Parts: sequence; structure tokens; C-alpha cells
Amino acid sequence: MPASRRKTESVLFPIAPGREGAVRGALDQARGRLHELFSRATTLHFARFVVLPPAGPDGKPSLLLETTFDGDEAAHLAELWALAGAELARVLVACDGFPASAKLLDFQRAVEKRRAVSAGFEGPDPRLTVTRIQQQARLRDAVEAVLARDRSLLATRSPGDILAHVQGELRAALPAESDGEGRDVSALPGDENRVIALVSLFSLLVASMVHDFADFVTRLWHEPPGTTGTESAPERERAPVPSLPSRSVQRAFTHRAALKQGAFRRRALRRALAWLTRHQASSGDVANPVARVHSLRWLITADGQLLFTAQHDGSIRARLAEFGAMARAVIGLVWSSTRASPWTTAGGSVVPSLERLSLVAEAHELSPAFVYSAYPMLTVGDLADNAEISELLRGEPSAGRGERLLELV
Amino acid sequence: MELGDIQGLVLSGYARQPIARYFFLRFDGGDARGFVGAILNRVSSAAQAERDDPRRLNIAFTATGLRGLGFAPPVLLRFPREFVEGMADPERARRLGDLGPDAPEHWELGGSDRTRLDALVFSYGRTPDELDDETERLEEVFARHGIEASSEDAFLPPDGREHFGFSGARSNPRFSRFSLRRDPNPFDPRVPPGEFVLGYKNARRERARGAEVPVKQSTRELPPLVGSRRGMDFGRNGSYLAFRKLEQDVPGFVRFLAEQGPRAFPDDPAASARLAASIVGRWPNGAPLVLAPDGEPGHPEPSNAFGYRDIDPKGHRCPLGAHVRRANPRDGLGADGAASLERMRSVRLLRRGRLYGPRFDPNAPTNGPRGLLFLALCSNLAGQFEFVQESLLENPKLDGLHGERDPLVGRPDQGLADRDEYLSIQAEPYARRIPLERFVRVRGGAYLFLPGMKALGYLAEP
Repeated sequence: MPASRRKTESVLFPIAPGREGAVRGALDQARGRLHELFSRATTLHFARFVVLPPAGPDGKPSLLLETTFDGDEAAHLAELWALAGAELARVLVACDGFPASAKLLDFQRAVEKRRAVSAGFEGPDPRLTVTRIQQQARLRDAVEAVLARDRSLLATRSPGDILAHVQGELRAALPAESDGEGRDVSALPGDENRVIALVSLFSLLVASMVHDFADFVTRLWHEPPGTTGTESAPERERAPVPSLPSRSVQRAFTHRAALKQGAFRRRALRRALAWLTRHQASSGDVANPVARVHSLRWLITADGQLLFTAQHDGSIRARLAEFGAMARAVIGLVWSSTRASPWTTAGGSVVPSLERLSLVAEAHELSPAFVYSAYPMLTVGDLADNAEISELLRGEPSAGRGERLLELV
Repeated sequence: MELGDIQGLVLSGYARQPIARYFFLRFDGGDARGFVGAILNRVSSAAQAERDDPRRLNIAFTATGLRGLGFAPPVLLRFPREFVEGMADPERARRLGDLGPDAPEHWELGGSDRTRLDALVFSYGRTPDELDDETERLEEVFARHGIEASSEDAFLPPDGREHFGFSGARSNPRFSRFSLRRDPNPFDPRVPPGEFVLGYKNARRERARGAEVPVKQSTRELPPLVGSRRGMDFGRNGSYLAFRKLEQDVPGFVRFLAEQGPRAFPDDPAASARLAASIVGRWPNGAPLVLAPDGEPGHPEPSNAFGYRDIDPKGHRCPLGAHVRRANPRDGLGADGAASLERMRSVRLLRRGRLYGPRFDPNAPTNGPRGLLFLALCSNLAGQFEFVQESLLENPKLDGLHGERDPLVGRPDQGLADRDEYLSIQAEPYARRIPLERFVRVRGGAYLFLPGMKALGYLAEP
């Protein structure tokens, strides 16, 4: 069976000036229906629409459509269109060049043309499909229901007996064996990747230091003392926030900031992000310790903006704290390439304080116009627990396995 | 600390002034600046010299209140996002769990433009006569400056117990001016002033900074100049304040305990009391369940020096989801006890709440709405109040739990839940689940800023 690995696709549809309101209006109208239709999709994990206001006086607005899905991209687009084509068309028709009576082919062409290359990673286990995740969640609920129902019967039994009892009750509900999803071996680390890593990060560091030092000197010369040389008090971009269903434990964070000048810096940043993606895919070093990020992307837009999106559990401050603790230098190096960052490599440090990191992240947050999750009430930890419960129910009952099951539920 | 520039409420809960009247103000068309100037000299600071004053008065403003006092939108944007957006903002309401019947559109106070709050004036006294005298003076000032005001009486109960019958605010944090000092109680350590007052160092040894505002000239003493003398440090010695009006259904709580207690603890003759303690995490006299799992101890001053990790890692003494364990997990948050204590040190809230409504009388169980006018002071609403609310009380996944929220103040899932709300009571061989009802409803709320005394002078200046 072919490897089924979760992917994220980012598409930036340009919006004609003055049509932002129409796009938002169309999304407002379609929101409820889109949620309902997307929930029938078998490949879709997450989706978001974000209206990006013009980045500057000469900038143009655009609409970001980001979907995280399983397997083949063409099949995913076909499924989305088959389920919600009419609603998608009603939203996208307000964007530049999208035909009024669009068909699947028009949608595929538009996506192909407007696709933006992003870097990032997909949770600790990108092999878990939507279908599998939902099956395992239902199984866990069923286990809990059996335990609650039969408590008086099981209260004096041993953990192994309890597991056997649950297995007996739920044998029919057990999902099939593993999908046969394999690890993406193309991304396994080798010497070549290590060299690329060193070159990418080092060139980004050098580019940042050179440019920031130049900025620093220029500002010393031209600006009065006391200014920071960066956008330390950024203007916030705000919009009403329709979001995930009311009590979702997941959050969708979108952040945009202008990149600092320097073609070399941008190239170096692109290389560094690409390396980070490959390194994470193969080793899990960056995202695994966080353990609460479902999906995370960086995207450099044509008009020189760094877009950062994340689907995560709990508050962004908590996640930033974890990122900060684990890979603050890497994150700091990436963010110090943006004008939003009040830090500069010229000072010899790219490691921001958590407080300032949070302030800048939140100040440049963009509210999504639409957010969808196929399993909004499940955390990354739940996905792992549910997978383990599913596995425990398949094996031979034993005291150890029974104890573990009771720990997990 | 500059006590003379800090409003008294920050350093004291005014235990000597047990009765209070809170005034909810709207500035529509009124002379807000003139009003602030008129009450400026009546506002109580934390200075030692004022501590013997029999009456106390403090004032705090919402973002709309500051706008009414002349703060332009670009200046307001220098305040934290959560303060400017307000507690009733739809996204914030979602994060805080204010949904369904608790949603801001149903609030009596602060939930919509119709119930908007611009400022809150807190008046405290020792006797009803003192409070009435002060009210008379304040109402005259409100009328003179065209300020709309409504009020609600609040009190500190003589027995120290809130409406559900539990001893309140047992672990209010204590200030430490020396953040590096070894603390005698590592489980409830002293907290540096920057956690509650802007301008001082917080638990992460970073200075909590406030908003910078345009320079004004005055004969009054105003906040210090900052930013190469191009702005004034308006935030200095001020605090942020989260206000919530929480209505408590005491008859419902008593009935629920009587019904569910014997089902939850069939072998316990005091099953109702045990269930109540399991929900709260403390016995009614304040004794922590984790230290006294067998029953309410007789001694009146229970210890507050305890953690959860070593004594009760699995929640067999105090349920993992009990209210006080959620609100302050002490050393129990995450895998590292020391890191948890350090983390909790930076999310503490200084609570100054008081009760409203009649005390519960079991012989006349339906005698009007009652509850808590909750006030929490902090220097960072998102990092402290919202963290506690969202990531601890409303977190369905806290400490390995699955799909539960705080049994006392958490709210049930709206539309998403395909199961009943419950509290897990950990036991061998596995936890039993107690179906829950809701006994606390949100009836109002707002984010406010409690300025320093000099900043109040700034607000009174044109």
C-alpha cells in the first residue's frame, strides 16, 4: 500500500482591491454550511481561510486557503469540490480571476496557479489518517462507557481481567489493523542533510548579522537615540473572529510580519525553513518535545511577508513557551528576519525573552475568517493515547496491559 | 514599592471595612474627566498613613472608559490586546468558556453596548451608615458630572465562608519584595510585586511594563516621563483587574449533594459533605483534602504548605479535577514539580472578591439571587487570569483528565459534547464518574485597569 502521509497545502488567492468585504461576507454566509460539508470529508484534517489585508500602501489583499489532508492531493481537491464546490465557488468568485461558474477543473487550475510553497511539519505522527483518528476516538468513548456501566461488576477484578472484559464487549468495534502507512523515507537524514542544515542556518545567521548590522548603523546615524530600529510597537491587524466550534481544545494561530530587506537573507531563510521541514520530518526533534502542535507552517509570500500558521492545543502563549524552551534560537533566528521582531542579530543575540516573543506574536496575529478541524476536541496527546488504547485492545490481555489501559482512560 | 502611588485595593482586601458598594459607571455624554478630578482626593492609596481611614474608595476603568476620558485609538492600542478587546469579545468569551447561558449577550453587566461598563468605583466602609454617607457624596458627584451609575452591595462574610459554605481565598498570594529570598513554604511561595503591579519585576525577573501615553502638563504630580521624554509611563503602579459577577445556585448545590453524595460514596455516612469536598478540593473549614482525606479536621487554621506530586500523584486523596487543584496545581502541572511551582508563581491572581445577595437559609431556600463579585488583580490579564481560566479551570485535558472541566465554575460543552459533564473521582481500580450540574452562572464581567494615583491625576487633566 502506498505511503499515506499528512500534507498541508497553502493557496493564496489575490483579491481585487475593495473586494475584501465581499470575501468576508461570502465566508460569513458559507461558514455553517462549510463546517457541515467539510465534516463529511474523509481526507481533511484542518482547513482555514484567512483574509490577508494589504501588507502596505502598495500591497494587495489576498485570501489564504490552507488545508491539511491525507494522501493524494488531486483526490483531496476532488473530494472538497464534490462536497462543498458550490460554497467554495461562492467564496472564491470574489477573488481575482476565479470564474463565476467554476467547475472542478477551474478549482484545480486555480489551486495549481496560486499554490504557495510552505515549510513546516505535521504533528508527531503524520501517518494517522482522519478516518483512523476518528475511529480511535470513538473506541475510547466506547471503552469509557463500558467501564462506567460495569463498574460495580469490575470494581474487584484485576486490571488484566478488566481488559479482557472490555475486549470482549468491544471486539466488534475494534478498527482494522494498521493502514500500512509507511514513513516517508525520502526525508530520512543523511550526511547530505546535515551539510545542508549547517549551510542553511549558517548562511541565514550571516545574512541576518550583516543586514542587521547595516540597519543598526544606518539607524544610529539617521534616527534619534531610543528607537529600537525595528517595529517594536506594531499596529495590530484585527478582525472579528469566527473560529473553531465553541469548546474546541484546538486553536488556529495565524501570524504575518514583513521580512527585513535583503535578497540573500530571504534565500537563506527559505533554505533554513526547508531544512527545518526535512529535519523535523525525519527526526521529530523540533516538534515532538512540544507535543501539542498538530500542524505548523511558514510561508514566504511574493510581497515579502512571512506567514506563520499553526494548529495547536491550548493557548498560543503556552505553545510559544514550549517552543522557546526547546528551539528558541532557531525560532528566534527565523523571526528575527521579520520587521515585527524587536531583536536583532547585530546585538549578538537572536534569543528573545518569552514575554516579548508572545507580545510580538500576538500583536501581528491575523484572525481567520473560517477554521475547521475534523477533531476539534482532541489534543495531540489524545491522539497518542487513543492509538495506544486501540493497540492495547488488540493484544492478549495481561496485568501490565490492563494497568496501562486504566491509566489511559 | 511606591505605596503612595498604588491604589489601596492592591495591597489590602480591606478586611476592616467588611461592607462595600460597587458602582458601575457609564460616561455617555457626561463629563468623565471632571468626575475623575472630583473624586481624585477621595481615592485611597496603599500608603501607611491612610490605613486608619475608616472608609476606602478605589476606581478602575475599562478600555471604553479610557476612550471616554480622551484616549485616542492609537494610544489605546498600546494597552494589551485583551484589555482593549474586553472580556465580552466573542473570541475571548469562547476562550474563557462564557458560552450558552453564560454568554456575554445574557450578562447584566458589561456584556453588550446596552450593559457596557466604563468604570467601576469600589466604596468600602465599616458600617452601613458610613457607606451611605459616602454613597450620598458619590451620587452627588455622579449627578453633577452627568455620569450614569448603578450599584450593587457586597460584603465580607463574618464567618469567612462564601455562599456554598466554604472558607474563601485560602491561598491568596503574598507579596515578596525580594524575589530571590528562600521561602519557608515552597508550595505556596511569595510572589514578586511585578506579578500584580506594573513597573516592578515579575517572577521571570522581567519588569512588567504598562502603556506609554502622550505627555500632559499639569500642576498635579503626573506619571514619570519615558521614551526620551516623549511619553509618560501611565501604567506605572497600576494593575489590571478581571471582574466577574458569578451567581451561585446554593439551593441547587445542596440538593445535588443530597442526591449524588450517597451514590458517589455509598459507604460514607457523611457522603454529601465528602462529595462537596471532592468538588472543591478542600473541606468547608479550608483544610485541604490532600492533607485530610478522611474527614474535616477540627483545627481552625489549616496548613497551606502542601503539594500534590508526592502525596497524591494519582488523585486518590483529592480528585485531579477538584476546583482548587485545577486553579492552583502547585507542583502538579506537567512532569517537573519544580518547573510547575515556578510556572504557577507567574500565573497567580490577587483575589479581592466579595459576596452579594442574602446568605443561604435552608429554612427559606429561595430568597433571591446571590453570588460572588469576583475581582482578580494581575499585571498580565492574558498570561495570568486567562491562563488560569482557559488552561487550568476550563482545560478538559488537565493532568491526564479527559473531557472534564472545573466542577464548580467550569461550563459544560455547548453543542460539542456527546456526553454528560462529570467529575472523575480517582479510585482503585479506576475512577468513578459523578454526573455534574451547574451551580455557578456568569452574570457580568469586564477587564479594567486600576491606575496608579499619579495616572489618575493624568486622567483628570485636559
